[in-house]
Amino acid sequence: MATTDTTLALPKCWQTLNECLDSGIDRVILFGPSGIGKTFAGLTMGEVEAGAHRLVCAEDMTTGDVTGHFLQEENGTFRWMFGAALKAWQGNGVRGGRLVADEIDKAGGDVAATLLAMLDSPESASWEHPNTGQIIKPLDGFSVIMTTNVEDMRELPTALADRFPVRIRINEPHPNALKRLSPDLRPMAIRSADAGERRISLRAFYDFDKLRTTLGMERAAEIVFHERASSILDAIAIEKVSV
Amino acid sequence: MKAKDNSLAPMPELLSRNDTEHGRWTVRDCEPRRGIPMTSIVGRDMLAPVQDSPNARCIRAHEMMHAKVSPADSFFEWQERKIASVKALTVVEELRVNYLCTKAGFNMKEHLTDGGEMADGERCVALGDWSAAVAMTIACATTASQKAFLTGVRRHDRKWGKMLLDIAKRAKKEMDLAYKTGTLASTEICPVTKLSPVGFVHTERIAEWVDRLMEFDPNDEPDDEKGKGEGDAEDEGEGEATGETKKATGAVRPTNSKKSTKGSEGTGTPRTISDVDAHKASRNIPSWMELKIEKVPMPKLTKGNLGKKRVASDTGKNPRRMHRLLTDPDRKIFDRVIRGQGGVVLIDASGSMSFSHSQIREIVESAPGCTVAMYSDLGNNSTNMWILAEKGKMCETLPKANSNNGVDFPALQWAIKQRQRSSSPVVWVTDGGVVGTHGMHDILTLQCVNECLKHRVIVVEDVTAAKELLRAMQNGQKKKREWPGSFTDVYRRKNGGLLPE
Repeated sequence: MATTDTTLALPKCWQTLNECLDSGIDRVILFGPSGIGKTFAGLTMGEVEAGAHRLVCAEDMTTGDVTGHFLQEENGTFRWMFGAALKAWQGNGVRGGRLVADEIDKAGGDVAATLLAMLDSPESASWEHPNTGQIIKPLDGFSVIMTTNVEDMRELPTALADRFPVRIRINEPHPNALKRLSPDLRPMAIRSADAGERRISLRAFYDFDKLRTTLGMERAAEIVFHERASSILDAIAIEKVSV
Repeated sequence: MKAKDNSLAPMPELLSRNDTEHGRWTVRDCEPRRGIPMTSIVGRDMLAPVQDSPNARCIRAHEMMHAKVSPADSFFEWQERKIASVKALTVVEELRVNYLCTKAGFNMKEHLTDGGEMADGERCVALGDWSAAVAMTIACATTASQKAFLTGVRRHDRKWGKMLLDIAKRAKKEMDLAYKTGTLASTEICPVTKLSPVGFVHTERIAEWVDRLMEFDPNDEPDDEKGKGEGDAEDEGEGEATGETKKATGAVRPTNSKKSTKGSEGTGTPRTISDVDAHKASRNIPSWMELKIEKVPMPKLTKGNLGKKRVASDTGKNPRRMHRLLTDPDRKIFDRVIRGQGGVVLIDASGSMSFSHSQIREIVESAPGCTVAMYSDLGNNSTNMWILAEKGKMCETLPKANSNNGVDFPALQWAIKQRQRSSSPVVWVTDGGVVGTHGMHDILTLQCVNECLKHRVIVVEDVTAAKELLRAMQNGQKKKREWPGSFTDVYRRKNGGLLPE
């Protein structure tokens, strides 16, 4: 990730993540409200020169997305396509890459089981290529960042959660993500990111910020915030009393 | 009124403060009625109406403004400063919040009312509850409630109505002045006192004034017209700030009233309500340094202490002094036990004062068993108060001081607590130049004066006077206070009368 804007202090959660990655921690769970940059952080923060590979977990995904699958070619032969986890294992061929497993709580049973094998400690992790029989092991530098919106880590499969003792709750957007927003809206965007059911996404603030320059505050709020426009405009008016 | 819609629920999560951490809030619906909506900043809990009506919107704005600017968990610390009462702080905070809502664009003057204010006004007059009337006036000022409340008051007492209208106008003007400082809505933490939010200092300052207004006896205000039970007077002013409050109140100020003359020159009672003035708005929080006490080694013994002593008496159980039957015309043949009076002498040892070790000894000998302490802030966060004599012992040399004051009020509070018994005198030796963390401030001076009045502290201007006073008291003579010029000056400016002797 690009260097942080010096005018915006790095929130504690992001500082913790930086400290963990700088200290060589290679298994981290990032959890917290959606839309504040957990995935982006996984893809860009720390050592990712050897590549970062994203795996979006869903109920109907298969283990093929994790390890790989055969793809039929035009000439009738089959070519093996590596999945995200194996790509990350191999990285750039010299150093292992980064696997970013999104929405890990949504993975089905067989995918979770495969992930267990893929995320095992480097000494015991290995995988046999179904075509060539080659034994593949994760290269040095392989790291994993899992993200989830689940607040209670007990909801994750125990064996999977055990592999990730470092769990960081991300409750504020990264300052670099806020730079796109006008300064007067930044504190509100930070505060609303972790407002539970009443949260307003950072993306909504981006659009509101853009629209208000041409349509004015009220119209922009109506378009973006709909029935909550009045409350949000009132909050903005009160916020301006002391800034 | 349209149907309820939770989408209109206030959004306190969006508000930023410098003195608290943000987080999730619980927002619940309630009736739009005085006393029900509430905001807990610490618990992040808000009760506010979610109806689609101008009145409900103003109440939501009011609660949101509380969430934005009111003290969170520091209210107790403000209260403990003892500059203003909790009641006054509460009503002035309502005023500040309503004023800031108006500044934010909410039409509080038109819509913030619950319909019961007129009856409240009538009730206050019927019960003769001036303090409650002042409190309600302040809480309602700048809102639609003010007009209804004052109308209710005027129905039964036009004089009260006029006085309260004057108070409302002046309160609004005080807020205008505070707003101009740019700190009225500040939620910063004061770097010196660590108090927050800084904007609340204006609430405290005005609350101190409101306390004095609530103590004012409306009967002292001279009548300039007969006004009891004059009926409705809705058309009278409802509190528009004219910026000429003194002029506006000029009509009720007496010119040759006997009572007011007496009040001004004799008892210290304010002449008119308009003589009771607020302190000047400032950006700083008037505050004291933390008191750091050191007991100086006391190798010297002095005459007498607080021990009990037997004296002859004409009543008793055992006739221990039978010889007096022949020698004493009063025939005091019995014994009576008396105790030394003791006392506490607190000495302002700032640069403007001077005294010597021998003078301290004379004080101790004048009041056997008294406690003597001096204070001065040396500016290096070290000891700022030294106990020089106690229980018949005293120090050999005086510590070096003669710097700033810094701790006048905390030292005074300490001295009052040291009284050996409730009748023991507390003498404060000061030239009246009390100075807090940010220098001199009328609020601080008045705080010291009020403490002296409340606890019967005798103020004298130098150590020699203290010695003479204690000696005279020891002989049963009563002595008057010698208020320093700065004390009488501040008191007269703020309350319009002289300090009681």
